[in-house]
Amino acid sequence: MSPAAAQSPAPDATPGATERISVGGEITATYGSEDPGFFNYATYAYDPLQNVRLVFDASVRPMRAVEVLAQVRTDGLSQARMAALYVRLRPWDARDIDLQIGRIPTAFGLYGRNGYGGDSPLVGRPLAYGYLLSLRRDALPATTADLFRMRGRGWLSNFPRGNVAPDRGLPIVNADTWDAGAQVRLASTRVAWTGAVTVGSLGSPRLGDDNGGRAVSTRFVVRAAPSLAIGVSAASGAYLSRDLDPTLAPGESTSRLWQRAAGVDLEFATGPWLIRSEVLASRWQLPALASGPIDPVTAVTTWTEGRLRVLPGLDLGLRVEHLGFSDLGPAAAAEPWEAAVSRLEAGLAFVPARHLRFKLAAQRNRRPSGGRVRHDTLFAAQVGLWF
Amino acid sequence: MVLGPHWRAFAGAIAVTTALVAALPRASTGGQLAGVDTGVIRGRLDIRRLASIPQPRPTVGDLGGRGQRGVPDVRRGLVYLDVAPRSAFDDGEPGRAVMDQRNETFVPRLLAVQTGTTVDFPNSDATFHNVFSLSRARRFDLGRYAAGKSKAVRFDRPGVVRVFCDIHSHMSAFVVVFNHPFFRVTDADGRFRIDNLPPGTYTVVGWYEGEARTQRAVTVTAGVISDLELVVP
Repeated sequence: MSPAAAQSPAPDATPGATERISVGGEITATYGSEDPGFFNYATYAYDPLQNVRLVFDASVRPMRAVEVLAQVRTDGLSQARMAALYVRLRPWDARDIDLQIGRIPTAFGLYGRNGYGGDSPLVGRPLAYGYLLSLRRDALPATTADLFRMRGRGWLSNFPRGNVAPDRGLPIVNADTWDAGAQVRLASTRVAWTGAVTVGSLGSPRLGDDNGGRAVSTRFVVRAAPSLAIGVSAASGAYLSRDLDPTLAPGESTSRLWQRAAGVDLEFATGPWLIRSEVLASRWQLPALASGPIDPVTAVTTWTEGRLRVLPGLDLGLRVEHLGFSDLGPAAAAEPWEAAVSRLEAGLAFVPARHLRFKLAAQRNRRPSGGRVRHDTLFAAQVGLWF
Repeated sequence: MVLGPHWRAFAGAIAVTTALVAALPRASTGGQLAGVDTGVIRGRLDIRRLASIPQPRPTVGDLGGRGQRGVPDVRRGLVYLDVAPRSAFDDGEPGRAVMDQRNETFVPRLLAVQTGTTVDFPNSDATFHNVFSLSRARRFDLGRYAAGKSKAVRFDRPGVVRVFCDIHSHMSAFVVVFNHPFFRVTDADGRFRIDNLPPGTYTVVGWYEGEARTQRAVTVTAGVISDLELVVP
């Protein structure tokens, strides 16, 4: 008998429609440095560098074309919350067309859906997907000086119009919470397009509408070569709470004050290398200040991340990123409306077994022009177990 | 004739061994092979109580579903001799086998090969795949590669090698490597046949999804086909 002759011929896989219920989950425990500059915080609920996260996913397929998906998540061992709950309709088996309705994953950008924790040796998320800016959904500056005063203070921002109590600001894209709405996706071997209409906005996803506005977002991905995928994303949506309407000038409405964003991303993979990069710009339209109408304020961020598989089960990763802001004020004395941030993060991931991974990461954050902490070097260790 | 104490001990050992072998659960005789000095074990590995289709993780974070995928041939088990006859270890010619990647599935899901075999892992999907293993018997990572490309791994140590795709967490498979040729992956009905076995008594193991689930001792006689039913409890 020849060495491989004991193997029966490979059978053709048979089609199956019996996948009715499936579950999965992940436990991630992270322990790292204190982060007094709030470079990594996206919420008051937990510190991402000192957190235990439990995630439980479930899918039920009551019939061939219908799937109900849910994700329950708890951070810091606090109360569990329903991070996702939606229905996926796939009317034709042979065609890649999906309709998703409910609390759905964001269509925008490269990062916001999975977090790819198991796929990257890094612990921190890109600044675009969590770093808190000073802008708030329930409070507004009265003057440009109010904005300048809050530079680098997104963790505890306050403005004189609307809710004057200090609270956290908005990230460009909130990767922690998903929006509620409907989404359609069409895909072929080389291209995929997704369009979504939701009630919140990129930075402030919501379960229920709070301003009468709608957010639209879209993503188009083309696989230019087998190793290269290029994505283009855009989104526009009202981001302010209608509680602010009484503070607005006549003719202004929170339903017409938008956050608009556009981004280009790429993912290149070959052999042991995986490279991801994204350039993303976001603009927020502000109502007139005391001095009169102002142009929308802009943030532009770029990040590039590389992963190298040194050995089976051993990865090295590096991300470089920068988040910058447009100038505000008279041309002679224009200043950025927020404090620019840059970050360098390096990490190592060790996977001794399929469902277990360890990470060690270090990040250097710099924010020279704002915030109480202008620069900080942070370390984190993480263990993750998934099933 | 009077036997010395050593001869008496030897005769006693022979008698005990003969009695033990006679007491072993016997495989039934399923036929005769004319003019050969080897035997055959054939039969069926019944895994019906175990076989279930492993479900992929829910794709909660995806913008769409995966569509209809093939279901791996999970009902296939593996039957092998726990200890092979000495002649099994004679040098053989290194072979070649294929584990394809189709519809985000390794096909076949279970591949059994002899040491020295090179296994090709072609990517027959339109998307990128990666093949890796963290198993002690063979630790490797083929990196990410595109549709139409193929990479190969040579398996030189016996053992169970679990194979995964780094990109698609629902993809997994087994390559089981033996240092002898007396093994067989069952067909879809659980049937198997191991040929060219030198006469003797062997322990036959039924294996499924990473574990030896059942075993039985079988005596092989030259020129005889021994039928064996292995039922996983």
